[in-house]
Amino acid sequence: MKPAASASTKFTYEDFVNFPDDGKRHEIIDGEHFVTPSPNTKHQTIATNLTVALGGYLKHRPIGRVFAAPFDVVFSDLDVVEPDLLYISKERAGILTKAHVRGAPDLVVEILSPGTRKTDEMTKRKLYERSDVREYWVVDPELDAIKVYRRAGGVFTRAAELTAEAGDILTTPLLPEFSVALAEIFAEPA
Amino acid sequence: MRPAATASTKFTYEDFLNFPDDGRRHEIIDGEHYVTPSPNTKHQVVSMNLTRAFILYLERRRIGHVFAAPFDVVFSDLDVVEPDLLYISKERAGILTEAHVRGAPDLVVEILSASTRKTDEVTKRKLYERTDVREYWVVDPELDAIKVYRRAGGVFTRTAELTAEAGDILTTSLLPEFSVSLAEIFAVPS
Repeated sequence: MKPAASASTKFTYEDFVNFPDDGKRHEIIDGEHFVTPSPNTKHQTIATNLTVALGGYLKHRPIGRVFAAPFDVVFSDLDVVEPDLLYISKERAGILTKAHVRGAPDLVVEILSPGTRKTDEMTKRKLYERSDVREYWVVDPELDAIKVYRRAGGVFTRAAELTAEAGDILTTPLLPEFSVALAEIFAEPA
Repeated sequence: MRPAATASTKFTYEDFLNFPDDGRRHEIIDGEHYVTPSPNTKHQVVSMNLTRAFILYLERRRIGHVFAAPFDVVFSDLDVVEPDLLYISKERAGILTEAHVRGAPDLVVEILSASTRKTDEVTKRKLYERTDVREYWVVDPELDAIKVYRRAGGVFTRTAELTAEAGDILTTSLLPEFSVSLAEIFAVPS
């Protein structure tokens, strides 16, 4: 995932809605256009496992909603992304419009691909940090690891780095009593 | 970097000596054969920057030697690797033979490539942990970051994750008063 053009003109939301519907993920961050190819099987397996875990929890405790890509999040005219997963609490439900999300979800989850590692770890972390996302999870399917960034005041601190190898369990203050083992998140169907 | 063959027979040091001299890095870990293509420019720039920092330090404080790849480290008949950089203190100088290193260096440094990430972060970390290496640095040229694993009793603990972004400085108890900024390690000549 690299900027498709290093033009000095910045892309805006108006350009964004005219990008081709080619099955690839199109995003703009600070006016730069990012294009990502379709994810691989392990990426999608993890997205499903996490969605099932979050969905199961929210069914019992309807305190918010989870959404999976492709679902546009418009942070500003120059920042429009499609996170792999996002969670919006009832308190923030006002950011949901008929077409997309307009504002900061409580939680954003990105699942790394080799081509998106730097963007997910640097560019998007900074975007989510400056746009009031409360937690950002960076999920690494190659190392079966998850980095949790949590807002503390105006900035993200890395609250945890969890691995399946260490037998870690993922929890978050955003979802009281939610817990899921990393082994479960990274489990591939036999 | 993946095992070149999943044969049930294990490769040994004798096989290792017969691998072709093809400019690629050949290694065996637990009898599996790993082949890595030549590193890219940033990898080599980082290697050079780190080597320079070590050498300047060791010229003033003659407490050990630093070596850069290709230089074989024979941990056992089934474990023969070529770390990107290694440091051997005078106390451990007995592991240096005319041909190679036979035993555990004090410090091993691996610089990630896209294709070696999993091997460096998981397979080699476990190898170095079980073979009495005192410190293992995993250098990430994509994120300008360094993870420091340090032996505490029989196991590695991750003692630091440093980044150029945070303005971090690398130090180690193995080299008293050694210090180098990550900005300097990841600096690419303009």
